[in-house]
Amino acid sequence: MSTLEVTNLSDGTGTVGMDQIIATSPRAACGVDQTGTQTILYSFNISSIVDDGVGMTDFNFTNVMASANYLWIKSLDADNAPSYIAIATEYADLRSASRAACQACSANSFVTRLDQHNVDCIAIGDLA
Amino acid sequence: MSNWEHNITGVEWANFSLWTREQIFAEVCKEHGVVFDQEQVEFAVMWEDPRTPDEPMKITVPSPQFWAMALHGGILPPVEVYWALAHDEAQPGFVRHTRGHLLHETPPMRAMTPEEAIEYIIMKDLPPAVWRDYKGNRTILRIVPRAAVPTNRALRNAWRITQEAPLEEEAA
Repeated sequence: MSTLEVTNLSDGTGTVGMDQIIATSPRAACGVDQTGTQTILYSFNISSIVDDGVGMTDFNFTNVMASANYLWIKSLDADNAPSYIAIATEYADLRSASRAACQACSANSFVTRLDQHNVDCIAIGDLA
Repeated sequence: MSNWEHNITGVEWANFSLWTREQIFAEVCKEHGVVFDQEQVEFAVMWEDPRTPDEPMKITVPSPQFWAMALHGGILPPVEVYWALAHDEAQPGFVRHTRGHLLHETPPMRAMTPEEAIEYIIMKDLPPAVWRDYKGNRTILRIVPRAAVPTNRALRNAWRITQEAPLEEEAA
Protein backbone atom coordinates (compact mmCIF):
# COMPACT_ATOMS: atom_id res chain seq x y z
CA MET A 1 0.00 0.00 0.00
CA SER A 2 1.42 3.35 -1.02
CA THR A 3 0.90 6.57 0.88
CA LEU A 4 0.16 9.94 -0.65
CA GLU A 5 1.16 12.74 1.67
CA VAL A 6 -0.63 16.02 1.07
CA THR A 7 -1.70 18.90 3.26
CA ASN A 8 -4.64 20.22 1.27
CA LEU A 9 -6.92 19.09 -1.51
CA SER A 10 -8.17 21.60 -4.06
CA ASP A 11 -10.47 21.44 -7.07
CA GLY A 12 -9.22 24.77 -8.35
CA THR A 13 -11.83 26.86 -6.61
CA GLY A 14 -12.01 25.56 -3.07
CA THR A 15 -9.40 24.06 -0.78
CA VAL A 16 -9.93 21.57 2.01
CA GLY A 17 -7.29 20.66 4.54
CA MET A 18 -6.49 17.01 5.06
CA ASP A 19 -6.99 17.39 8.79
CA GLN A 20 -10.58 18.37 8.10
CA ILE A 21 -11.07 15.44 5.73
CA ILE A 22 -9.62 13.03 8.24
CA ALA A 23 -11.68 14.45 11.07
CA THR A 24 -14.92 14.09 9.17
CA SER A 25 -14.42 10.73 7.49
CA PRO A 26 -16.38 7.76 8.85
CA ARG A 27 -14.55 5.58 11.35
CA ALA A 28 -17.10 2.79 11.51
CA ALA A 29 -20.04 1.79 9.36
CA CYS A 30 -22.55 -1.00 9.38
CA GLY A 31 -25.75 -1.97 7.64
CA VAL A 32 -28.13 -4.43 9.26
CA ASP A 33 -31.20 -6.35 8.19
CA GLN A 34 -33.15 -6.76 11.43
CA THR A 35 -35.74 -9.13 10.04
CA GLY A 36 -35.24 -12.82 10.70
CA THR A 37 -31.90 -13.52 12.32
CA GLN A 38 -30.25 -10.11 12.25
CA THR A 39 -27.85 -9.96 9.32
CA ILE A 40 -24.87 -7.71 8.75
CA LEU A 41 -25.18 -6.35 5.21
CA TYR A 42 -21.80 -4.62 5.27
CA SER A 43 -19.49 -3.44 7.98
CA PHE A 44 -16.26 -1.70 8.71
CA ASN A 45 -14.66 -1.43 12.14
CA ILE A 46 -17.52 -3.44 13.60
CA SER A 47 -16.68 -6.63 15.50
CA SER A 48 -20.23 -7.77 16.15
CA ILE A 49 -23.81 -6.67 16.48
CA VAL A 50 -26.25 -7.55 19.21
CA ASP A 51 -29.90 -8.25 18.54
CA ASP A 52 -31.46 -6.68 21.63
CA GLY A 53 -35.06 -7.26 20.62
CA VAL A 54 -37.56 -6.12 18.04
CA GLY A 55 -36.10 -3.23 16.09
CA MET A 56 -33.08 -2.92 18.36
CA THR A 57 -29.44 -3.41 17.41
CA ASP A 58 -26.26 -2.74 19.34
CA PHE A 59 -22.94 -2.28 17.51
CA ASN A 60 -19.51 -3.13 18.92
CA PHE A 61 -16.44 -1.42 17.49
CA THR A 62 -13.21 -3.19 16.55
CA ASN A 63 -11.06 -0.10 16.99
CA VAL A 64 -12.81 1.71 19.81
CA MET A 65 -13.46 5.42 19.61
CA ALA A 66 -11.38 7.82 21.68
CA SER A 67 -14.37 8.88 23.74
CA ALA A 68 -18.15 8.67 23.79
CA ASN A 69 -18.30 12.03 22.04
CA TYR A 70 -18.57 11.13 18.39
CA LEU A 71 -21.11 11.58 15.69
CA TRP A 72 -23.36 8.51 15.41
CA ILE A 73 -25.52 8.76 12.33
CA LYS A 74 -28.45 6.39 12.06
CA SER A 75 -30.83 5.90 9.19
CA LEU A 76 -33.29 3.34 7.93
CA ASP A 77 -35.51 2.57 5.02
CA ALA A 78 -38.94 2.28 6.56
CA ASP A 79 -40.48 -0.91 5.25
CA ASN A 80 -43.95 0.11 6.23
CA ALA A 81 -44.10 3.74 5.22
CA PRO A 82 -46.31 5.69 5.02
CA SER A 83 -48.62 3.85 7.42
CA TYR A 84 -45.74 3.34 9.79
CA ILE A 85 -43.38 6.28 9.94
CA ALA A 86 -40.20 4.95 11.44
CA ILE A 87 -37.12 6.73 12.64
CA ALA A 88 -33.78 5.53 13.87
CA THR A 89 -32.74 6.58 17.34
CA GLU A 90 -30.50 5.41 20.11
CA TYR A 91 -31.86 3.63 23.14
CA ALA A 92 -30.98 3.13 26.76
CA ASP A 93 -27.55 4.49 27.64
CA LEU A 94 -25.54 2.23 25.39
CA ARG A 95 -23.40 4.92 23.80
CA SER A 96 -19.80 4.53 24.84
CA ALA A 97 -16.38 4.60 23.22
CA SER A 98 -16.61 0.91 22.45
CA ARG A 99 -20.20 0.54 21.26
CA ALA A 100 -23.32 2.32 20.13
CA ALA A 101 -26.91 1.37 19.45
CA CYS A 102 -29.74 2.03 17.09
CA GLN A 103 -33.44 1.26 17.24
CA ALA A 104 -36.11 1.49 14.59
CA CYS A 105 -39.20 2.90 16.20
CA SER A 106 -42.40 4.71 15.46
CA ALA A 107 -42.03 8.45 15.08
CA ASN A 108 -45.31 8.85 16.95
CA SER A 109 -44.52 7.05 20.15
CA PHE A 110 -40.81 6.17 20.26
CA VAL A 111 -42.03 3.01 21.94
CA THR A 112 -43.44 0.89 19.15
CA ARG A 113 -40.55 -0.85 17.45
CA LEU A 114 -40.50 -2.82 14.26
CA ASP A 115 -37.70 -4.75 12.57
CA GLN A 116 -36.47 -3.08 9.41
CA HIS A 117 -34.68 -4.48 6.38
CA ASN A 118 -32.12 -1.71 6.12
CA VAL A 119 -30.72 0.02 9.18
CA ASP A 120 -27.49 1.89 8.53
CA CYS A 121 -25.15 3.54 11.02
CA ILE A 122 -21.95 5.51 10.71
CA ALA A 123 -19.57 6.74 13.40
CA ILE A 124 -17.49 9.86 12.83
CA GLY A 125 -14.97 11.01 15.38
CA ASP A 126 -11.57 10.31 16.84
CA LEU A 127 -10.32 6.75 17.22
CA ALA A 128 -8.55 5.56 20.32
CA MET B 1 -18.22 -18.83 6.94
CA SER B 2 -16.69 -21.27 9.38
CA ASN B 3 -13.25 -21.39 7.86
CA TRP B 4 -10.92 -18.88 6.29
CA GLU B 5 -8.87 -20.32 3.45
CA HIS B 6 -6.97 -17.27 2.33
CA ASN B 7 -3.62 -16.02 3.49
CA ILE B 8 -2.40 -12.50 2.84
CA THR B 9 1.36 -12.34 2.70
CA GLY B 10 3.77 -9.48 2.37
CA VAL B 11 2.05 -7.20 4.85
CA GLU B 12 3.73 -6.38 8.14
CA TRP B 13 0.45 -5.93 10.00
CA ALA B 14 2.09 -4.90 13.23
CA ASN B 15 3.48 -1.80 11.50
CA PHE B 16 0.00 -0.38 11.02
CA SER B 17 -2.68 0.84 13.36
CA LEU B 18 -5.56 -1.54 13.95
CA TRP B 19 -7.94 0.57 11.90
CA THR B 20 -5.49 0.68 8.99
CA ARG B 21 -5.00 -3.07 9.22
CA GLU B 22 -8.71 -3.57 8.63
CA GLN B 23 -8.57 -1.14 5.71
CA ILE B 24 -5.71 -3.09 4.14
CA PHE B 25 -7.39 -6.41 4.82
CA ALA B 26 -10.67 -5.27 3.25
CA GLU B 27 -8.90 -3.76 0.27
CA VAL B 28 -6.80 -6.86 -0.46
CA CYS B 29 -9.83 -9.10 -0.10
CA LYS B 30 -11.82 -6.88 -2.43
CA GLU B 31 -9.03 -6.96 -5.02
CA HIS B 32 -9.16 -10.74 -4.96
CA GLY B 33 -12.90 -11.02 -5.14
CA VAL B 34 -13.45 -11.99 -1.52
CA VAL B 35 -16.58 -10.24 -0.31
CA PHE B 36 -18.07 -10.38 3.14
CA ASP B 37 -21.63 -9.27 2.58
CA GLN B 38 -22.93 -12.50 1.10
CA GLU B 39 -22.00 -15.01 3.75
CA GLN B 40 -22.74 -14.68 7.43
CA VAL B 41 -20.77 -16.30 10.23
CA GLU B 42 -22.23 -19.70 11.04
CA PHE B 43 -22.30 -19.10 14.77
CA ALA B 44 -24.32 -16.87 17.02
CA VAL B 45 -24.18 -16.28 20.76
CA MET B 46 -27.41 -16.26 22.72
CA TRP B 47 -27.17 -14.63 26.12
CA GLU B 48 -29.12 -13.08 28.92
CA ASP B 49 -27.82 -10.28 31.09
CA PRO B 50 -28.26 -11.21 34.77
CA ARG B 51 -28.22 -7.50 35.63
CA THR B 52 -31.40 -6.96 33.61
CA PRO B 53 -33.40 -10.16 34.07
CA ASP B 54 -36.60 -8.71 32.62
CA GLU B 55 -35.07 -8.02 29.25
CA PRO B 56 -35.34 -10.57 26.45
CA MET B 57 -32.49 -12.79 25.39
CA LYS B 58 -29.86 -11.06 23.30
CA ILE B 59 -28.12 -12.50 20.26
CA THR B 60 -24.59 -11.51 19.32
CA VAL B 61 -23.71 -12.00 15.67
CA PRO B 62 -20.05 -11.61 14.62
CA SER B 63 -19.21 -9.36 11.72
CA PRO B 64 -18.05 -11.49 8.76
CA GLN B 65 -15.11 -9.16 8.15
CA PHE B 66 -14.03 -9.25 11.78
CA TRP B 67 -14.43 -13.02 11.77
CA ALA B 68 -12.21 -13.33 8.71
CA MET B 69 -9.55 -11.17 10.35
CA ALA B 70 -9.65 -13.34 13.46
CA LEU B 71 -9.19 -16.52 11.44
CA HIS B 72 -6.50 -14.93 9.29
CA GLY B 73 -4.37 -13.93 12.25
CA GLY B 74 -1.82 -11.20 12.74
CA ILE B 75 -4.38 -8.39 12.77
CA LEU B 76 -6.40 -8.29 15.97
CA PRO B 77 -4.87 -7.40 19.33
CA PRO B 78 -5.12 -9.77 22.29
CA VAL B 79 -8.48 -9.54 24.03
CA GLU B 80 -6.72 -8.31 27.17
CA VAL B 81 -6.20 -5.01 25.36
CA TYR B 82 -9.96 -4.55 25.13
CA TRP B 83 -10.28 -5.42 28.80
CA ALA B 84 -7.75 -2.71 29.67
CA LEU B 85 -9.68 -0.14 27.65
CA ALA B 86 -12.99 -1.27 29.13
CA HIS B 87 -11.45 -0.89 32.58
CA ASP B 88 -10.46 2.67 31.74
CA GLU B 89 -13.93 3.44 30.42
CA ALA B 90 -15.52 2.15 33.60
CA GLN B 91 -13.61 4.59 35.78
CA PRO B 92 -15.58 7.51 37.23
CA GLY B 93 -14.93 10.66 35.31
CA PHE B 94 -13.68 8.87 32.21
CA VAL B 95 -13.57 11.28 29.33
CA ARG B 96 -11.11 10.04 26.76
CA HIS B 97 -8.93 7.01 26.16
CA THR B 98 -5.27 7.58 26.87
CA ARG B 99 -4.12 4.01 26.25
CA GLY B 100 -5.45 3.58 22.73
CA HIS B 101 -1.92 2.80 21.63
CA LEU B 102 -2.40 -0.65 23.13
CA LEU B 103 -4.69 -1.49 20.23
CA HIS B 104 -2.00 -0.68 17.72
CA GLU B 105 1.25 -1.53 19.44
CA THR B 106 0.49 -4.79 21.21
CA PRO B 107 1.70 -7.74 19.10
CA PRO B 108 -1.34 -9.07 17.22
CA MET B 109 -2.94 -12.44 17.83
CA ARG B 110 -2.03 -15.47 15.77
CA ALA B 111 -4.66 -17.07 13.55
CA MET B 112 -7.58 -18.34 15.62
CA THR B 113 -9.72 -21.40 15.14
CA PRO B 114 -13.47 -20.78 14.84
CA GLU B 115 -13.85 -21.90 18.47
CA GLU B 116 -11.18 -19.48 19.62
CA ALA B 117 -12.68 -16.70 17.52
CA ILE B 118 -16.13 -17.07 19.04
CA GLU B 119 -14.60 -17.12 22.52
CA TYR B 120 -12.64 -13.98 21.63
CA ILE B 121 -15.83 -12.22 20.59
CA ILE B 122 -17.62 -13.33 23.76
CA MET B 123 -14.80 -12.01 25.93
CA LYS B 124 -14.55 -8.80 23.93
CA ASP B 125 -18.17 -7.85 23.32
CA LEU B 126 -20.22 -9.47 26.09
CA PRO B 127 -20.29 -8.08 29.62
CA PRO B 128 -18.07 -10.01 32.08
CA ALA B 129 -21.21 -10.33 34.22
CA VAL B 130 -22.40 -12.83 31.65
CA TRP B 131 -19.36 -14.92 30.75
CA ARG B 132 -17.13 -14.58 33.82
CA ASP B 133 -18.90 -13.48 36.97
CA TYR B 134 -22.26 -15.23 36.84
CA LYS B 135 -22.60 -17.88 39.58
CA GLY B 136 -26.26 -18.81 39.22
CA ASN B 137 -27.70 -22.06 37.99
CA ARG B 138 -29.57 -20.64 35.05
CA THR B 139 -28.00 -21.10 31.62
CA ILE B 140 -27.48 -17.57 30.37
CA LEU B 141 -24.98 -18.14 27.56
CA ARG B 142 -25.09 -20.47 24.60
CA ILE B 143 -23.10 -20.65 21.39
CA VAL B 144 -25.41 -21.95 18.69
CA PRO B 145 -25.39 -22.45 14.95
CA ARG B 146 -26.85 -19.39 13.30
CA ALA B 147 -29.43 -21.64 11.68
CA ALA B 148 -30.74 -22.54 15.16
CA VAL B 149 -31.88 -18.99 15.85
CA PRO B 150 -35.62 -18.72 15.20
CA THR B 151 -36.46 -16.53 12.22
CA ASN B 152 -40.06 -15.91 13.23
CA ARG B 153 -39.74 -12.83 15.41
CA ALA B 154 -43.41 -12.42 16.29
CA LEU B 155 -42.67 -12.95 19.99
CA ARG B 156 -39.04 -11.80 19.88
CA ASN B 157 -39.29 -9.66 23.00
CA ALA B 158 -40.33 -12.72 25.01
CA TRP B 159 -37.45 -14.96 23.96
CA ARG B 160 -35.47 -16.66 26.70
CA ILE B 161 -32.75 -19.28 26.59
CA THR B 162 -34.26 -22.69 27.06
CA GLN B 163 -33.15 -24.34 30.27
CA GLU B 164 -33.67 -27.83 28.95
CA ALA B 165 -30.48 -29.69 28.13
CA PRO B 166 -29.90 -30.46 24.45
CA LEU B 167 -30.68 -34.04 23.48
CA GLU B 168 -27.04 -35.07 23.13
CA GLU B 169 -26.32 -33.87 26.68
CA GLU B 170 -29.28 -35.81 28.02
CA ALA B 171 -28.09 -38.92 26.25
CA ALA B 172 -24.65 -38.54 27.80
